[in-house]
Amino acid sequence: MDPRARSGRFVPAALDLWVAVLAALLLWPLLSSAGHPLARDLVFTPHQPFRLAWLGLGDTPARAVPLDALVALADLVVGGDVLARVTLVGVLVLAGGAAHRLLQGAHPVARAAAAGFAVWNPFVVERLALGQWALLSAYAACFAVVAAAVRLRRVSDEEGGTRVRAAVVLLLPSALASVTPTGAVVAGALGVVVASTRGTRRLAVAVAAVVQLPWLVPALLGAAGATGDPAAVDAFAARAERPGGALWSLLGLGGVWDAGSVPPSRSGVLGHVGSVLVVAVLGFGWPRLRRLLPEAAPRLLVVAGVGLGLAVAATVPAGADLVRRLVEGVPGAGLVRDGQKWLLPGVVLVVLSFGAVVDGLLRAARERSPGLVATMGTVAVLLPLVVLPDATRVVWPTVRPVDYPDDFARVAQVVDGTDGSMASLPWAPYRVFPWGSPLAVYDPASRWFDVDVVMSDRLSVGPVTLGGESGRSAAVGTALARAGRPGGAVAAGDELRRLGVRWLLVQADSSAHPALPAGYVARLRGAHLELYESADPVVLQPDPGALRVATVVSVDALVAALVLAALVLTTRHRFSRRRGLLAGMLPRTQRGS
Amino acid sequence: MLTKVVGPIVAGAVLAGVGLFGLVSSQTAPPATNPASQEIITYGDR
Repeated sequence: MDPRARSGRFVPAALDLWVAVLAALLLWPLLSSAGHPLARDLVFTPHQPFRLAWLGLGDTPARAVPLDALVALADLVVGGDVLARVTLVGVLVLAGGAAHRLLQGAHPVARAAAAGFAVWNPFVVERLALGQWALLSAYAACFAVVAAAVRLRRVSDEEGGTRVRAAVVLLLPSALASVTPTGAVVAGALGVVVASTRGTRRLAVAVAAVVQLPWLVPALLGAAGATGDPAAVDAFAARAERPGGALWSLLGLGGVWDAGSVPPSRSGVLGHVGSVLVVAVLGFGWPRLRRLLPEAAPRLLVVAGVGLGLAVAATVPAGADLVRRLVEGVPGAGLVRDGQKWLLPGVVLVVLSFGAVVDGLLRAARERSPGLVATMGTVAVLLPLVVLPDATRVVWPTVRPVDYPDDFARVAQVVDGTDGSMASLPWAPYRVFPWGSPLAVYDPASRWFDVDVVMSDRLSVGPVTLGGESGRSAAVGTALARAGRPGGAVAAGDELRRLGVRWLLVQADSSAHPALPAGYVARLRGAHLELYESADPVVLQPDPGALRVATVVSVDALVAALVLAALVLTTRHRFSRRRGLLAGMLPRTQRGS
Repeated sequence: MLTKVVGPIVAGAVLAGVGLFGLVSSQTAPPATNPASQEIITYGDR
């Protein structure tokens, strides 16, 4: 075999291995123990049932659409324990793998540095500590979106069929990013801005529009249009992790709203070092990055700048006022309340710039001082770990899996497939299970039981409890609160039955056992869960409406068909060229160099 | 001399020192409170 061809295969494989090692280190507790991850927002259950609510047809805004629907479908094939490991590792490997493939013109060590930084940086670590793997899926896919958008841009002068094929390739990573509305918006913007020329603008806009449909259509048709509590803007604004303000922390790729998700080193000298390095990398890496990615770099800079602006907005008085007014007055604008997540395209830019800086330094060193190349390369590759040495301290507690007590399966045997709704108590969206992680976790009831589950959607952030967005949840919460007042148990029971609540699920090992409404009898009393059923029939709640369901399902089916067709076409193209999927997305001039 | 001896020694010492600090600190810090005893479960804290 031609040595260059062998090297062309060996280098990407070695870089992928480096990415996999870092991913395994970051997720080690998940990979080394059995069970399901259950902490913060990271909730996997043995088999998540499929419900229309997962398509945005419930009574809450479509924040996790179509993520939960995809998880429920995947659970038909593999259990939640396998799915959790495959998705979390896969997301990190995709981020690193796509990053080094975008920098194919760079020195292999520079590519290794960028690939490692794509996995091991404050943005990824803090969001992983919060358990928000879907946002990281969008982050990972955005590297591939950039590559595919460059390819579409480069064929703008070619015949229609070639442009359509390139647009089809762009649809795949855009769809992967669109497992949540935030990812859809960022990937859509990146695709349009990077790919648009006179000949490709319509195709790029069409791809961006298609991936918005799964969340936008239910948002326009249903309760997802509810407005939010303006106090959430302050609660979820980007946070200063150390002296210097929120912008300084954001420039260090951190600044997530939750202090508990931030590695301790971010508050000290290493945090400042990180911010300085990012600013330096952006400044010194820019000329080299423009040479490596001439079409993508300036356009990625524009999207990253807008993202940084959105992230900063809620941290300055005028911007916070504007965002509060948006959240309070515009249906669905609650999407923008978590400021730091808009840093996503900026992180992509910084990762690529880091690879460009290292590439420039190594090339300069090779000419002037060859003896320094190995040292510089080693330092560059390990620098992300050095600047963030305690990443595992916040990530490991979140990803450490637990075993669900048998009570969950016993409750499922009783309630699965029944009509009526289940209210989950204590009336709060987050729990701490004595048998699980010491971290608070989103109530897994809705993902465990095949019955309509009503939960509180009032989040507590520190001492502030935010208003919810679901009218039905608020009504059930009011009725449950009445049960705790003298003489209120009977009225509470009647009101809950009117609201369709047939089942009451109580966390028995909670420190506070809630007062129960009258007319509910125990069906199961376990050490961890208790289940009560209404002794009288309940008023079943109306369905979302046949027209609404048909519209949303049809749109989702159309998008799924387009994505599957794109997958088939791209895979066929890949085998015909005997090239990797991502290599196929890259412009010919960047392949194998 | 600078590139072949001093540079690698300094780089190695920095990498080893910070790496050990991270490894040790990530394994030895106890939780500040016992969250299981909290009455109000918070999503997070600023």
